[in-house]
Amino acid sequence: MSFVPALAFDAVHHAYGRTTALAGVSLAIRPGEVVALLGPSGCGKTTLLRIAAGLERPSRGRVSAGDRPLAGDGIFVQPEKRGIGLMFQDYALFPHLDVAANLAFGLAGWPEGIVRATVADLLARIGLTGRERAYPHMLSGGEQQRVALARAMAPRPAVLLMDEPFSNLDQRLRRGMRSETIGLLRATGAAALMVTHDPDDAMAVADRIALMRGGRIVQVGTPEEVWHRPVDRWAAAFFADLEEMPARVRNGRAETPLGSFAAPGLADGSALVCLRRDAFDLAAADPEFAATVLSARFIGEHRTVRLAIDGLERPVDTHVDAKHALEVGGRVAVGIDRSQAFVFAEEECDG
Amino acid sequence: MARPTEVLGAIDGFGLAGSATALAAIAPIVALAVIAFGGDGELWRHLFSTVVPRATIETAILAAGVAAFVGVVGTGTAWIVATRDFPGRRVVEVLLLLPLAFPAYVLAYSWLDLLHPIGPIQSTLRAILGYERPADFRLPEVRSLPGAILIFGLALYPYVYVATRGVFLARTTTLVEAARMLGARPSRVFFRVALPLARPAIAAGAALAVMETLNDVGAAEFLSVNTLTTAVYSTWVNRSDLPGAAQIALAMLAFVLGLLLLERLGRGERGYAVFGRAGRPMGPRPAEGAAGFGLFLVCLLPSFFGFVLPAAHLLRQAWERLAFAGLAEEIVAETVGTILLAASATVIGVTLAALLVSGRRLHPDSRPHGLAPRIASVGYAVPGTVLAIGLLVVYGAFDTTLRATVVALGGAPTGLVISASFAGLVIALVLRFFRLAASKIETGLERISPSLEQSARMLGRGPFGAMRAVHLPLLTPAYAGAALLFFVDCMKELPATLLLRPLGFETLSTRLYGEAARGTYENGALAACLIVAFGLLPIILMTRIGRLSPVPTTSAAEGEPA
Repeated sequence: MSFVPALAFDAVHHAYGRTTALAGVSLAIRPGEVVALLGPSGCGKTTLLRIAAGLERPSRGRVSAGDRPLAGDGIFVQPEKRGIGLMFQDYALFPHLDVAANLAFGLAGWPEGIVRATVADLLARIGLTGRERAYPHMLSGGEQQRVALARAMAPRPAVLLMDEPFSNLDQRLRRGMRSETIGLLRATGAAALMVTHDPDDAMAVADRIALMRGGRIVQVGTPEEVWHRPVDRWAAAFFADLEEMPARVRNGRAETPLGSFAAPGLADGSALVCLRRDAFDLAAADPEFAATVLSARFIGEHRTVRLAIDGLERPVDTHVDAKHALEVGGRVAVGIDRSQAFVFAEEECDG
Repeated sequence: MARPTEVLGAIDGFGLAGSATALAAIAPIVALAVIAFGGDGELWRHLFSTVVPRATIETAILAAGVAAFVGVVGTGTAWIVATRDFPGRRVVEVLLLLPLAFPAYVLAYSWLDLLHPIGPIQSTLRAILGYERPADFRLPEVRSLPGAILIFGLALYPYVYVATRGVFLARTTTLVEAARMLGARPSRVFFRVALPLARPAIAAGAALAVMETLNDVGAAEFLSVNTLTTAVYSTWVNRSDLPGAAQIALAMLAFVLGLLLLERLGRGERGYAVFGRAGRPMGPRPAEGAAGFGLFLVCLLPSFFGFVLPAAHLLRQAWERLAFAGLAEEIVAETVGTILLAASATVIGVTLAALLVSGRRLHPDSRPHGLAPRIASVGYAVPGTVLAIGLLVVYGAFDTTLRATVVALGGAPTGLVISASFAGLVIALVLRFFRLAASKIETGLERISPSLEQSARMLGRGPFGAMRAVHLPLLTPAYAGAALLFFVDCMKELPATLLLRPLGFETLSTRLYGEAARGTYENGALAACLIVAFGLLPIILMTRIGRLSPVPTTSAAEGEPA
């Protein structure tokens, strides 16, 4: 890695009393890059974000921004001295200040003309021109989110932190705000670290995803990498539901009732084959198995289907195009997309 | 194991204010211990074989009696007002609060005059019953332990009333409804559900009432009860025996500590988790006709004897005095002096409380910042007399050291600089009521999300900048509320003011005390009226807030001992 990272964590540990929140996290974010910290609640992702912000002191390890050390080795830079922006989950807009004053809050000491120009520019970018005198409680949820984002970006920080930026928005608004946020980030060129528990948020916004569990980073990669090459069963299951079936590995192939799957590098013995729902293809040109439809339910764009595949003990769930009419009790032919299958050694199967 | 950065981080404006206040708060207690144990061992034995046992027993009886009275009256009236609807309910709901305006010594003052053998009540009774001379017919003496329990109880039951009313009004609704759906009759609902749930509130309110009783020096003296407080006071004032006073004060501190421990233990392990959710207020059951009137009378009784009658008497006395002698110049000077004193203490106290409370919030992982407001709050748990005796010792030591230093440096010997000075009195009041302001501000701060000040930090403000930009504007109502409570409590304060005031400086409360000591009751009536009038201010504010929210917040509920 020849670049100087915009933000870097080096073996960061943190504990609250006796609970370990972070157990040695190292991560580097390139300038201009958007990284999502993805994981279930309690995995330590918010702690890592707060450590980057300076709101929490790491018990061990180093944090740096560019070539400037922020924490570790007896150094601790106070949050206001870091030049890092943070967008809070609850937005933390100052209720006693109007939109313009909120946006200008981080610009104290700047020449007045520049402050005014910056505020006007930000308002235009977030589509709130003319609302500068409005108070936060007068804004809709989406507008508050945009003001919070713009306020954090106003002082032009090299790094922007976002704590669950979309969690307070409803599904419909969320999609629009994701692309709007990405647009703003790209326009300023700031590196960003975003905490989220929602894989869809991470996939939609991030250049790279750092998957966290139990205070550690489990996997880092582009959305494609973490989706297609999950390091373990848990990582695979975090993104989408899986159908799992036990298998036996022999000579690099995992044998299951649904045929054999490539298992390169796995020792002979028992293993687990995991299939994404999309792996079952009811419109395949070369179906391999026959199945009975146990139930089918129309849910808008899709139809969820439960199938009993001949020769398989447990039923499997999948979905088909809504146009595809299915009859409960009817027989269908099923093909399997073997690129959507992952084979993991047995001992990696936990919880 | 403090890291170097942690220690360095503590040395900022917040840290300095915090450590100075905390040091000032524990200095008098340390001084008490030093002087008490430095005193004569013989004295200990003498005091503890004569004065202390009797005073302890009387204090314990008084405290237990007051606790029982305020518990029953406060809880009972709160339950009636919260669950029954009867004609006049709104009126008694507010009337029941009013005795809060009466410091116990003012109430005692008024009742002593009312019940005087040739006072209005006994004279009227004699006239009705046809007796000629006071010697022929007499009510039982109010200057007695039972009399004192009644007077203290009447003055202090609102602490329990306010705390339990909040619980009954909003927080137990669902559970009470659940009990009713399970077929419980009203009495069973009260004893099996509402009362146990209100237990922490009752205990907190009763503990406050007992603390006030222990703090009092005026009423106990007027009513001829020998409490530990009056023992401390007379040992110093009448016998100028500072080590002796310090020893009794220490004994008293142990008493208070035991009391607080008892209250803590009384809460036990039981869960009172329902308290988190403030739900709908209970719909009160209507009571009409004789039953409704009965409930009205029951609720009227404590406020009538605790406020209406004594207040009316004071007003009449003050009016007669004014008509007879006009407005005395002293009372104007005393009012101005009282306001000046209370205002000075309020400005300093609220400023310090604001700094320390915000300082703790803005340094979440700094122990010194976290401890400062707690340590600074000890003065509220310490009775005023005890605090004053401790401060007398500290001030004396300070003046002696100062004189020695100045003389050693070749200057002219200095006199009393802080002993018996206005500044010394202000410090005492600040230390005494710091917790009142701090807890009020803390309640306000809890409603502000920490992400707001963290946001200010991320946008370039230091801790002080974050306080100024976020806490200051958002907490203005909390500061104002804290200032009002602080101001009124300073105005009413008697024991510390009595012991520490500069020579010739009189406040309304010390004037009242002096007139009562001389037996010239009518002269103090105007001062008493003024004290009660100021005491009404926070209650008016409280009832206005109470109308907006179903759960009223008051000094009683928020000033509960640590």
